Amino acid sequence: MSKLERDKLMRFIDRGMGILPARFVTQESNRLTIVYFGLSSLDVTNSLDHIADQRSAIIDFVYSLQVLPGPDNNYERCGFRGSPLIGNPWNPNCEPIEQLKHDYAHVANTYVALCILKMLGDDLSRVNRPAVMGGLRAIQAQDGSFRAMFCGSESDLRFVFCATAICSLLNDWSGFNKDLGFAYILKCRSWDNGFGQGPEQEAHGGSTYCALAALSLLGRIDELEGKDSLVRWLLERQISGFQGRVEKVADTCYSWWVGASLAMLGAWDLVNHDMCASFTYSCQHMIGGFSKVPGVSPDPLHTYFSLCALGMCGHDGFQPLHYSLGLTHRAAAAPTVFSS
Amino acid sequence: QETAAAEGGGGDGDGGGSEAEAEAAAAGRVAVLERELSFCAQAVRRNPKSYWIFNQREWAAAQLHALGQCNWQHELELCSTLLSYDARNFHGWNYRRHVVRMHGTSDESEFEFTTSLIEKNFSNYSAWHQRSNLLPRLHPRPSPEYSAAIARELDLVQNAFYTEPCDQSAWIYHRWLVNEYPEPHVIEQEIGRCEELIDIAESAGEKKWPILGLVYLLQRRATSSDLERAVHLVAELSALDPPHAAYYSSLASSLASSLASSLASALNAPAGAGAGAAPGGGGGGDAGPPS
Repeated sequence: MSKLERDKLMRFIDRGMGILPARFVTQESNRLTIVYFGLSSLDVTNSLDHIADQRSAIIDFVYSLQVLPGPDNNYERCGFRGSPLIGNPWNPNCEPIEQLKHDYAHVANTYVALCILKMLGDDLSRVNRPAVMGGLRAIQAQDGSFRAMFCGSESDLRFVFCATAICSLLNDWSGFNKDLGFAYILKCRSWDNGFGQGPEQEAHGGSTYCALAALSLLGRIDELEGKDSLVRWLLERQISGFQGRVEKVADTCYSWWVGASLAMLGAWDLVNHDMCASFTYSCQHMIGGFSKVPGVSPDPLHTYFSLCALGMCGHDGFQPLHYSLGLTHRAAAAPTVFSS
Repeated sequence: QETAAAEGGGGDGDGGGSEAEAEAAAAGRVAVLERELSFCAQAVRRNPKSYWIFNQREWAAAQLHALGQCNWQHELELCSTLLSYDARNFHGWNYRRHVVRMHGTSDESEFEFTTSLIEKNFSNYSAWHQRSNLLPRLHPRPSPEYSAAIARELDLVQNAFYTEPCDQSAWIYHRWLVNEYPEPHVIEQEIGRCEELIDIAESAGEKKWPILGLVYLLQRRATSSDLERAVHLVAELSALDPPHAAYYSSLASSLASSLASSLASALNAPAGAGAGAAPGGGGGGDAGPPS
């Protein structure tokens, strides 16, 4: 099949933002990212009006997940959490509140929170920007990398990207040491010209996207050496769809990670668009939505990135994408109280 | 557990009694942490790609290490087992690099480990990748020892090319090797080797990588006839590997412009000057790049 099954897609997205199958319970702490995948799927396909009546409820839900400074004004844990599973009180108006023990923001969820608000046309006026910046400052390591939460996690390029996107969306870099961040990104460059998640790690399509998007948002992508070799590494990932690493199978989400990387380097035209679209459609499921590889269950993440890929391959009527922010141009351009 | 540690760590100079308590508390702590490691090992069998299971393992091992009780050799063996189930599991490789640092395993020993993986399966990009990390640590760079090591790697990848002719891994590693040792005699040698591989190739899939490898080598040596030949080879690649036609087209363009400037500078050079820019035979008549 090489046609988008729109009705089934809409029902799939609805379910993805309603009740998920039991196996997704392990993703509860990142529920907000699943909401992002659903809403962004609607945005990319020009269908946000589908949830128009839920718009302000979703906005309130996002704000209810803001981790606010307590009376001592300590910003270390601030940003957005991914879910109310810690038992936080319902506080969508972001009134001052005691901090809960073990309650921490997660940088990826802070990123998607801001994305969702922008997509829904919220002006970010309830975002405590100094607190978010303080939260970023607290999770940047001496080597320039970022972990996900103040209480600890692994430290790598995924969270560096999230931090750059947060600063960009809030128009404030006070929580981000740019020189250290830039230096860390370069340390992740591998001998084969791709980027690994961290120094010494194998080059990977996802981390290469994170590196390039972060460099782009830092305004320093032109300082990248060996661009041609990097373009070649990325192009060689296309085997039908794209693989994430050398000699792995094609997976729809890499059409985005690798595809957007090539787009940021001005080389998207060197990709075989027909082959990419064809692979993507081979992953469209009969219940709607897209899976990572043909013949397995679809999920919100792979659905979103598949739609991005189809848009990049020229699908009619899809919204153009802002590659480094991970949003449509329209959402990225939506004005906020922090716009310059 | 916390209470036991507090009681144990009192340091009130009470002699034998509190010392015994301290020992018991430490032993209790060690037991808890070892059970945690065992739990993580069970969990990782079901979820070999979970960041958090590895984070927890690393944390528990660090706690044991602080008590002087971490069996890093066991940790290393666990990594080897994990990588034997999935040689590309980057969580396993990351944890292994961490264990190697903590345990003080030698680079030579790790290098041998990657050799054993590659000998089992040449299509192990993660193992080739680890070698690229280790080689510059094993020998000063640049140095004759380093070049000799790279030369040995160039021989090793030949085995991969013959055993797994359609596999990308060794070819990408090959590009890096040539970059690390770009001496003319090495380029010559590798050009010859690529040509042999092209001769014995039985299918499009088997031809593609040696032809591409040859193109990059010719691009390096960059005499006018090299560049001309490279342009023809790229046209052949377009036919063998149509999905990547757009890339080959851009490669052909850049080869053509290298060829044009190489011919132009040969025409402008004084008589007898310059190696490597000799025009094709026949006294410099036809200076245009082949289409």
